Amino acid sequence: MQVPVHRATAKVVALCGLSLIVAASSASARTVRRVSGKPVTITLSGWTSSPVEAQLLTKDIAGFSKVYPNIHVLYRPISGSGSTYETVLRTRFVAGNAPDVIYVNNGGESSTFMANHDLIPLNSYIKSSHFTIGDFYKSSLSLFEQGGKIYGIPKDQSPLALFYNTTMFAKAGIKHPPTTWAQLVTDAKLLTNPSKHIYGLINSVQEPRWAQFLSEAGGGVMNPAMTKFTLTSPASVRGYTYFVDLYKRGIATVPTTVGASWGGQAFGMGNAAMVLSGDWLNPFLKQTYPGIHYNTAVLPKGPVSNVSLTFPVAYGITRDSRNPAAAWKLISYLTNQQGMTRWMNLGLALPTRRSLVGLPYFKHHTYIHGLLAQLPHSLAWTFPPGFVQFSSTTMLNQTTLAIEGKESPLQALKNMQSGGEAILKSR
Amino acid sequence: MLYLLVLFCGALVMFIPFAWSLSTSLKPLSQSLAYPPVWIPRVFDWSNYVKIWQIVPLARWFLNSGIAATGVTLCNLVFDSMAGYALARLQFRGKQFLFIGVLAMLMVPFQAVMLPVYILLRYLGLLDNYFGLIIPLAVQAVGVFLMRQAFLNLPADLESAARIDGAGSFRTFWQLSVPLVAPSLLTLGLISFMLSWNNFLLPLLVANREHLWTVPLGIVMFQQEYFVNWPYLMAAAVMTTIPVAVIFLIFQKWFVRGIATTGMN
Amino acid sequence: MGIAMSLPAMIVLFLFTLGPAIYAFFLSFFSWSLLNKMQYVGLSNFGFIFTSPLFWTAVFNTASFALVVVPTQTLVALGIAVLLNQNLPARGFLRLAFFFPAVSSSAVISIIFMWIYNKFGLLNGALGVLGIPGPNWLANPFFALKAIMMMNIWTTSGYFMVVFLAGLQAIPQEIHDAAWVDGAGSWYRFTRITVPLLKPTTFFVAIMGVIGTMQMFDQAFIISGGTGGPLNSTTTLVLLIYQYIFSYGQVGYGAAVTVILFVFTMAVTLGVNKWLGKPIEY
Repeated sequence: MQVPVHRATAKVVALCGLSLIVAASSASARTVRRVSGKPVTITLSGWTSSPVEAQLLTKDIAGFSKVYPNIHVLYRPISGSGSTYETVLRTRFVAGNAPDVIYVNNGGESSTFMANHDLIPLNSYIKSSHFTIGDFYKSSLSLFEQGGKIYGIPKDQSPLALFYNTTMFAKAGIKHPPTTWAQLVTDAKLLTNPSKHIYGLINSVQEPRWAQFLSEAGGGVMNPAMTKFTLTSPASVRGYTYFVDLYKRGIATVPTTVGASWGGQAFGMGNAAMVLSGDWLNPFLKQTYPGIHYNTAVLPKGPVSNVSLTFPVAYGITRDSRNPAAAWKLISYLTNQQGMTRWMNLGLALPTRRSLVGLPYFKHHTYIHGLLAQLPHSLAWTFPPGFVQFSSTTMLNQTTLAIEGKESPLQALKNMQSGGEAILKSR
Repeated sequence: MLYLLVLFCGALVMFIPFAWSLSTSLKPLSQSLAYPPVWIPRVFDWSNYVKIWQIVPLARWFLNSGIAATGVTLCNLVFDSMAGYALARLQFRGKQFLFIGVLAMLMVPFQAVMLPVYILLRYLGLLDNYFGLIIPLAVQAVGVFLMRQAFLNLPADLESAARIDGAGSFRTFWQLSVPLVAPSLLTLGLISFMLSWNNFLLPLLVANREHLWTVPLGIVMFQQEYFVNWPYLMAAAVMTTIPVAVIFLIFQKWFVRGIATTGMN
Repeated sequence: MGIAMSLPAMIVLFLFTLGPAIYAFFLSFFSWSLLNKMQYVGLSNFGFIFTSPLFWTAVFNTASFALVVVPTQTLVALGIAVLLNQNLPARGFLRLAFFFPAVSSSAVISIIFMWIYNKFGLLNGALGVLGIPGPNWLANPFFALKAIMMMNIWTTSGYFMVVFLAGLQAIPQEIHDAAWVDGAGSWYRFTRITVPLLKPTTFFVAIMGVIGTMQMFDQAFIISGGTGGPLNSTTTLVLLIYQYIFSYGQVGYGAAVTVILFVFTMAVTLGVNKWLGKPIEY
């Protein structure tokens, strides 16, 4: 459950007006059966990472309507907080009126939706329409595959990279962003000034903000097949301890320490010299804190690598869709070579197609370079079904205890390990 | 004199949070984060009150809250008083049983039954629907009690006179008794209106789509998103509180009366 | 006719109150995610709940919330009511001021208090003036629930004050007058006359307080963003029910906790009814 947590307020008045008008008609629209040649209506829902996203997607869909005049697309973003998107989606599945096309998240409930067959396999559509699936990064595509079936086409992804405040770096006489763990510590120390409420690094301590440190040390939360937890392997312990120590030394802190509710906000307020974030932070800073000067860089390298996490998002078709063929046409339009190029040129996220990393748009926007450079070194973040509560409470709580020094990093890892294994066994 | 001082200090404590939200709502974002806190904004920035209507569909949320609260109020006025009248004034089989049933239902809090209620609403197709916001609150056990009490207090002779004149019991109820309990109806109306207007949990369960959100739900959802902007939030809070304050000031006597007689919020 | 007139009310009450209470019992014996098929599991949901540390945390949080909030708000409400019952100027205004928070929306109040409780918010600013370094109220597991307690007392005291005022006004003035003629001081009159005569009102306030605090949800949900954090310190029973059902898709667990909450509420209510010797007729 990554990206919705970073969703921005996205209530574009025009869209809301639209949704009011279409609300009444949506129920009846759903029951229109596909008769060839007859116009059909399909609904597309997702969360919105920023107000612009909804606007831009609406525009893109308008282009689709010109190509397929017989397919009418209703774009109905689902608003709300954090895990609300998936909670809402779940209730829509229960009610049997889920939208035709949905954003499928990494992690969170997505694996459950796939396992429950709430999403339909897309393989036959991919085959019959000669959709070039080979171009996609294996790491992002595999998130939406189960048992050889593809349940979602990744539309974009956002790797986590290091955002740093260039003004603060210059003032402290630091010329380059840190490239190693040791440098990160030295720089953060230099930049921290608790009396002014300024810290080297500000991030909350949910699992997707520390799992990459485990990977950088050669460990990981789970084995690649996700059949067991590997939190207590020596490499994992090493990575986790490094992360926890940043907080224990006082050179990193959680956002609430400075009165912010997430790391990006602390960065915008000028309380954080560095923050680990995805590119959802860019539109937020542009809009809310335009005075901040910053840049991005790849994560500092650990003992083994500088691997980061990435959060791909896919389009999927729900089992409630009465017009899966039309829904596929929309997905294909939005995610084929041209579709993704259009989407990338809007600057909201990074591509899931390998062929698109060299787009001119990326060259012209320097603050994307760090994120782009991180892309080849990133792992798609996910969990098997049934781990929503575990990742949102147990892992967060244990890490909170660890950074507050109430529990040793090893003990925290052991507790998480046994908790996670117990869930795996009970399934 | 000492009492008065204590009371005024207490009243101040009650007032400060509202005053602070007003103060914050008039500051630009950068100034709102000033620490130590500043009470009087350097410049009164009213733009938050304009922007909030553009950022979120606040008007729509107000409309939803209004529709739901009006519906709940009307339903309660009609159904509670009918049932209250029947329990107070009419003789019928099973009356005692029903009365005890209502008594038992007074003890069932909504929170404890939200799951079955949710499943039921889903089954009846009332999710994402105004009826879903209204029907679960359409009858309040406490409202039935309030009205029963009110009808019991009417002199019995009045009605027997009407009956002798040949009026049926529904006509007696509607034309004679209801006007006489107008004060209780007003109290019931207020209780019902506030119950719905301030409700958070029911809209949270029922309104999955943004266009059905009520003001409290909308504001909480807005707050939980990541663009935490306290001046916007406080502007929204102030605007939500204003209608409540107006209704409260006009009808305060009836609020007090309602609580004194029912003890329910 | 009587049946016909009470029927609409009874149907709604049954559908949305009594029926659901019965249905919750039924569901507590099943494993169900809302999306899959229901599966009968006997008592195992209860077995899971009673061995789940999170459930006991929620019980602890809810109980300590009730134990702190109910006596405090009762005392504060009684105190204000007694003071307000004197012949003072600005009585109406004061009553209004104390009562207003009780009619405001709990959602809006929670958001206002989140801002006040911010690490660099109004409360810590005021404490700073006194030279006290304020904690990070809502992010600190030690303070988060206490902060919600304070907020709750602030909200509900005025409400119960009105109940007490009504009770006070029902005490005939002659009793006070007689005691006053006998030379009884105001403290004596308060403890020997007012308090005993207010006993039924006090019971009522206490029971309403207990029921209200046991159902605390809005504030915990809003302030913790639905997580019950930090470190589960604001997970209440009702929030746990909500999480099981809507966030984690464990309907059976949610229903089991529902049944436990329900039985407990019933027990408290009936117990106090018995104590008072008559059903509460609000």
